Amino acid sequence: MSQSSELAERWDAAWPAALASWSPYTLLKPPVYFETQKQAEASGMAGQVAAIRLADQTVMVNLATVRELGLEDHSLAILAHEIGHHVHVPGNLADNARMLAAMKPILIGLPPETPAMVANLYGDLHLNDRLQRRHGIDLASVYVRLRESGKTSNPTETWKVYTRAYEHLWRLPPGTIAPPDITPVVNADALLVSRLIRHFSVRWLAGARRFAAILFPYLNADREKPQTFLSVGLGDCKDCGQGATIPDGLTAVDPAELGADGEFDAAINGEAGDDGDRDPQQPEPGKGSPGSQHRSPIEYADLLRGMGLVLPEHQVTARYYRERAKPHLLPFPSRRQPAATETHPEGYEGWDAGDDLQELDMLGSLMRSPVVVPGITTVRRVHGEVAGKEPDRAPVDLDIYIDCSGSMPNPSMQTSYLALCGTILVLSALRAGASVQATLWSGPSQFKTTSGFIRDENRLIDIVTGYICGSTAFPLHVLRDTYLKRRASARATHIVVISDDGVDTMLSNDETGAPGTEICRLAMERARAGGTLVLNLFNPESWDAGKRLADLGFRIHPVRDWEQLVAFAARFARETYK
Amino acid sequence: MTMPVLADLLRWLADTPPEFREDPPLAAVLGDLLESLGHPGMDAAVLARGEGGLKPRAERNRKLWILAACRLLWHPFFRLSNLPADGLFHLFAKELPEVAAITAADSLMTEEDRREELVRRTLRAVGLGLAGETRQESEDRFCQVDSVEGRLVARGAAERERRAREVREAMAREAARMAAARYSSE
Repeated sequence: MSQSSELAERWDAAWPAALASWSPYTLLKPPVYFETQKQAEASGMAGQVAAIRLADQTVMVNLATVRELGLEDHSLAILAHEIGHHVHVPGNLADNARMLAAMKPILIGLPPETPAMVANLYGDLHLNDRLQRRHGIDLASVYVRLRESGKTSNPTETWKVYTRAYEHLWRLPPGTIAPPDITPVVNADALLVSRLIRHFSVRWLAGARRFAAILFPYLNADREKPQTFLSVGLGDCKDCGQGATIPDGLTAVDPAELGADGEFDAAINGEAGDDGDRDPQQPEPGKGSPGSQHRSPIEYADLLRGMGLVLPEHQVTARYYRERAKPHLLPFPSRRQPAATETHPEGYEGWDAGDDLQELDMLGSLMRSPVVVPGITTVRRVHGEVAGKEPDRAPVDLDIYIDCSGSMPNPSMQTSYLALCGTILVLSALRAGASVQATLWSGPSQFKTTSGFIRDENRLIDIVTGYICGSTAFPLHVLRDTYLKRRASARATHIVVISDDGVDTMLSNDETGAPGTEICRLAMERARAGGTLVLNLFNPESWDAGKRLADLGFRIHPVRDWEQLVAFAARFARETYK
Repeated sequence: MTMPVLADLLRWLADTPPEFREDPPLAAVLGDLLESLGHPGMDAAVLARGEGGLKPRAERNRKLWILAACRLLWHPFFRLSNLPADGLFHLFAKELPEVAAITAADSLMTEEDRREELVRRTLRAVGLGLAGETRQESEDRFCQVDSVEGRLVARGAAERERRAREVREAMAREAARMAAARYSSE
């Protein structure tokens, strides 16, 4: 990579003006230039004119392609366009993802890389129109040059609509940019595209679905042909998500993704009535509250894949539930201690050679004898405890058991309110300073556990949102061993079991033949902070095991949907504080 | 008097007295306005009546849009300007009923874009432009807030989506047919 060529210097000289075309305050690092196609290949830029990376706000220019296409004198237009991708459309990874999410349902049935290209086309139309019309930067001549280069002589149908739309936007004579054989249908669609670009120039995300809908038949007709837009080297957002981390806020559906009004949906469903009959005072049909809608885990994973983020499935699932849980974290319970204690030095006692070296008090030993003989002259300090002035509060630890037998929904495929509930509880407990033991269970010997109380958020969420899909047998041995081993001075613990009616296996015998009832009773006694069963129950009233489990001290909460989950969270906080 | 900036006109509209939303006699308000704008000969009753045939709610919405425009044109700048009668007639008889048919007048209270649409629509109708804005900038901005244009674009795109859905369904049928043919040949 060299920045020393005369062409690179010329383009560098245009960089400040390109930045200023958006705003005098725009700051971006200078572009990276590739002098040859071989150099460009390492960054996936071979054959490209220019490109952006949203992860590190980089603009890259392939000067070899610039020379091949004769675009050497169009530095300002091309650089300003690339900057526009950083500051306007898409602007950032999250908005890029939302644009892809808006377009994908419309482009079903087309090759998987199509939404990214359509998003690129849509963004380019917005940027180029704004630069050409508002800032007087000559983008049209770039497209004229591309046409003259002969690289667009066998254009796809999509390219025809796209370039004709520019002619409408900039009132250019037909054939200036677009190929000559534009049919009336293509012309009408291009006109519609141009109107859409103008109308949605500020709220651009709201126009994304509509744009995809207009282009669909052309993209479908082009299936067997390489897209002109890409083969000329204009796919500058192709890998814009490369190297990025998952942006926040993608589990929720942005209202703008849905077009921001019900008009489009009503119209495509043939529901739009005659204007005279419609009451404009009434909300539009189908207009709910999209701000409260969320993607399913599988849609979320698909969206991340579309952005070029290739991550292990379980990491994506954990991220999904963590993000959805965060707004609903609970004030996790803590217990008032009698009083905090303070240590107070009380004197010395002998230190033996086998004792912990850290406990050896060298100063005290030397004061006793200048010759140090381990075990004879060595001493350690003895501390006593005195009551402090302030009463102390200690958080209640959480011991959570998640059922992932075959009857439970797979949290990575569909939204599991139980996994979400578990995530909320785990994150709330960690936030309060508590430690958590999480156990994922299915059939006999089918379980994963943290084997102790830990504070590693990633490991805990991995277990809570995991899936085994086997038979159903509550891991009584884990419950038993946890509370048999637990010291009496250990912090109080709240036991939570997330399951369905398969939770009644808590009342079966363990592998040694000990009754589950006794194990549960022992666990509840030693846990000292109660227990909760969060259950996906269809008919809790007629469930026989409920009364026996309630008699053991468990509080039972049915959670089957979002409303019940929120109600549970409120009740849990209220009851554990009583 | 110099042309006020957009923000002034938007504030003027946002400060509309509540009486304007309580069904005042439209013909009387229009009559007063047209007289103070120097067009006492324009038939306020005809403009207030409209073309008729609307359901009561839609009719009320049309009246509320016209009342909002009356409030805007009551701004001292407009009263001191010499506004063309044909522009005003076009605004009250054509443009506002068209907007009212698709957009609730209540949105003038809640959405700044709708207030801006009313300002720009009115200025276009009477042949004026905002201070410090070129004709092209003015056209572009109007296009962004024009709810009639938004409706037309949505309808056009929806028509294309219906077409696309048919293609997708045909593709799905073809894929099913191919799968069935493969299954039966095995």
